[in-house]
Amino acid sequence: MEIFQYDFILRGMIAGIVIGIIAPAIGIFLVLKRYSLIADTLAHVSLAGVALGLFLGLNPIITALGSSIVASVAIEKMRTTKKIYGESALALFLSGSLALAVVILSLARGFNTNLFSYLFGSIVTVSSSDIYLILILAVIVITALFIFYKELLYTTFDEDSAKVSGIPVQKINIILIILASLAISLAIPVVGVLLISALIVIPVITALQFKRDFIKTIFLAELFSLMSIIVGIFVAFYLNLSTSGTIVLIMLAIFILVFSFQKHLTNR
Amino acid sequence: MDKLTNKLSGVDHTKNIIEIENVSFGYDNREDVLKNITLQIHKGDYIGFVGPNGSGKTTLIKVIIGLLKFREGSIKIFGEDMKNFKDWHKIGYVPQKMANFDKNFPVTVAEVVMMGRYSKRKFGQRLNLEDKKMTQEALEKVGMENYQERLIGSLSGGQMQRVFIARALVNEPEVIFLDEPTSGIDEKSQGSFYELLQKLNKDMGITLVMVSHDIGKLTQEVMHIVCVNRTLTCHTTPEEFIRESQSANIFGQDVKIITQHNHN
Repeated sequence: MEIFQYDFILRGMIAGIVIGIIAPAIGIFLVLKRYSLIADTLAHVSLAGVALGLFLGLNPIITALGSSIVASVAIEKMRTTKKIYGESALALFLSGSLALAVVILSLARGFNTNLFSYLFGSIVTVSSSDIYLILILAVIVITALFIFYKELLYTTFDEDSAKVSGIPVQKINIILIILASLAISLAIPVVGVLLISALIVIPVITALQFKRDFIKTIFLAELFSLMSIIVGIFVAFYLNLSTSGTIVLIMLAIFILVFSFQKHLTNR
Repeated sequence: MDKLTNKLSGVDHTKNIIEIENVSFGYDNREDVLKNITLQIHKGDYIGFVGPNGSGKTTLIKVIIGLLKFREGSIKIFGEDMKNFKDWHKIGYVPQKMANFDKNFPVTVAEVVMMGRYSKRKFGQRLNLEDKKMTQEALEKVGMENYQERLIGSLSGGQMQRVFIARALVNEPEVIFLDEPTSGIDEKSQGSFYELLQKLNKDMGITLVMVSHDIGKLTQEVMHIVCVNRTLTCHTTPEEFIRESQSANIFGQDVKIITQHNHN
């Protein structure tokens, strides 16, 4: 096929598929914990990291990763000590890091076009070294999810009972939020900072409409996620549209379809 | 009465399983929510914590099971200082669920009960046949074995509460703490729910500690009533409690007690 004659499309496709697998696997815990907005906040923190990386001439994915991990741990500490409302802490980090990003950008002009691709993503920007980095991060995230699956599930379902039964819930919460930062940082090149939370949230809420057990719900979310990403990359390529925007719109279309169908089913 | 149940179930009611000494608790730098609480819970007891709204009865349970860190005093569990206590599988907990429970959470009844076994297995380790057998047995004990594949959110309040009891039972605990387990459950299911609790206590020898606002029903079921209103204002039998509550001021301030079975 014509589309695979281009190396960058192939790279973008690989990166997209990896992100398509990771995002809902983390997303299901974030959504069920009512943490959906944290993805958006960490994405904005990553943007500040990207700006810093571009400014200092470092790999932006790595600086994004560093900044979002630091922020995620700080947010979790604020949430558990309850000194600041959870959603206020999110707003604080979201606007603060956006401000930081803008200021760094105004300090050094010249990479504005490059930055645009980090805002909205572009599979063209996925370099071959990015692919390796994405794959390594993905292996770390998936391994951690397998190792801590039981503890993540119990902590998400019923934090108090999990704690009484001897599960170290504070550590598990920190692990989850660090995994979320990893997933977000590796998704930046493909979908961009502004659309990452869509990949984490939409396939999961679509899958939840089917009301199945936990494992089936994850697989359904993976299915919708991968479907949207693969179809999205093809459609965007042939119609010359924004890849990330197309992917997210396809996800939304599937959600709306499933949601209306679900309502019809339960009304009977 | 204690001696009688002693003989019947072979449970040594004189053995302290939880010893609370002069415990005080408060949030941050604010004033104490609980003050100078001293209380022993004996093996095989069936205790009801009662008190007006905001009296600290739920807080007291959370302090005893380590969810909240107390300021002063000491708590011993099975003779061990709480800070060094490791055998948390001996303690079952049924939290106050109905109010903010996510009915859309995608887990089945069997998955919920199996969660009780998770802390028995190491990180990355899957549940084994023994865990699955224990899950089956726990579900049978509460009469929910035919609902395993149902989603937890599709059950009625009474059925759901049985599943949470099964999750507490799956580790064969010696004591179970229940926080308002009957709130939001219709009266008929409440009856069979209390029967189940009697079975756990009398036949299986499990110590039960329950918080409830339904004083009328509680006094018919439990062996001891503990009145909580920042401090402990009584620790007595249900009969004595009913008698005193009509004459004396049992909570240390002007709190009306409704002893008829009220239901909403």
